[in-house]
Amino acid sequence: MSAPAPRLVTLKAEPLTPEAYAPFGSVVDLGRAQLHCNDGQYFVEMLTLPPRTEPVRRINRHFDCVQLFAPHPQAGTRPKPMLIVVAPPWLSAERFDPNQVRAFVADGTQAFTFNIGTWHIGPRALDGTPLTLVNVQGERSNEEHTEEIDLVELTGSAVEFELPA
Amino acid sequence: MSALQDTVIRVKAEPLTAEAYAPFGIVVAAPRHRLQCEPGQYTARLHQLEPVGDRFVRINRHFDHEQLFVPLTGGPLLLVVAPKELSGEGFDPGQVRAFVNDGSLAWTYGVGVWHFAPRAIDGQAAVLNVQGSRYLAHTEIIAMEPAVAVEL
Repeated sequence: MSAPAPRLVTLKAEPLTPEAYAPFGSVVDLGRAQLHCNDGQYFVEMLTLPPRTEPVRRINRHFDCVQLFAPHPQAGTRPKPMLIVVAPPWLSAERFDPNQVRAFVADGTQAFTFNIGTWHIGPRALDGTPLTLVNVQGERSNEEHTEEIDLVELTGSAVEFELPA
Repeated sequence: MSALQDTVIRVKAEPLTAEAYAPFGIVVAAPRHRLQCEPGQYTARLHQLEPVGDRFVRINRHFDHEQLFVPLTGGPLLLVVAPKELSGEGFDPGQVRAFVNDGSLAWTYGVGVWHFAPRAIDGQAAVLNVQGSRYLAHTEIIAMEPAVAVEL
């Protein structure tokens, strides 16, 4: 017997601005964004994420350190816009509400953070190609301080996005 | 101007590669690299770069963190560094090295590595700068004598 298809919640993606993004983290500008980390040191890595276009089903968060992403520069190519998907830190896994998910489009020249506890997925390129990022993350975030949930199991819904024109 | 002020050490810039740059820091790649900073004190901000200029004089270093840069906009960048083993007293400007980053590489300055702020070779560029928030209390800065001029 196959599982019923998940309901789809469709959300409008918004341009990434510091004001709109404030509940979830920082868009890095000329001021100093603090990278709080409560367990150990940070690491840096170049991370290439595979193309993803399907509705968002799994979402995760970290409880120890602010996470920082920057687009990895590519010489001679135009900046690659990307989709950032987040939900507020005050949402618990047990009462997760897919309608609280927000999506932002970064222009490919912006660095941004996820606050401690902000739900998120890996950023996605908009054009269905792999996305290469610089990831600055707590060295124990993934192994020891992560909560990941399956929205379909918990809420019956997956989330898809309508991109700005 | 005196003849002494006209004296500079000329340094030829080399392409930035992980191997050549290894004594000074890393070029960010897929393997994880542990960054060192006093706990809880990293900050991130945008840094608009100055153009290259014709003299490099005041070189500095930080003892509290490894500093990370990611080019965000603009073209090639110039990195000017010197080995951490050099002391401030009797600093030898002949040890200065210069690297050209084509704008496609993120990199670090290791703890204690002498450096200048990166410069924009085309005159304009912005980078992400990840740095310890109390860096000023952990910085050594000296005026090199003679100064260094970089040949691109």
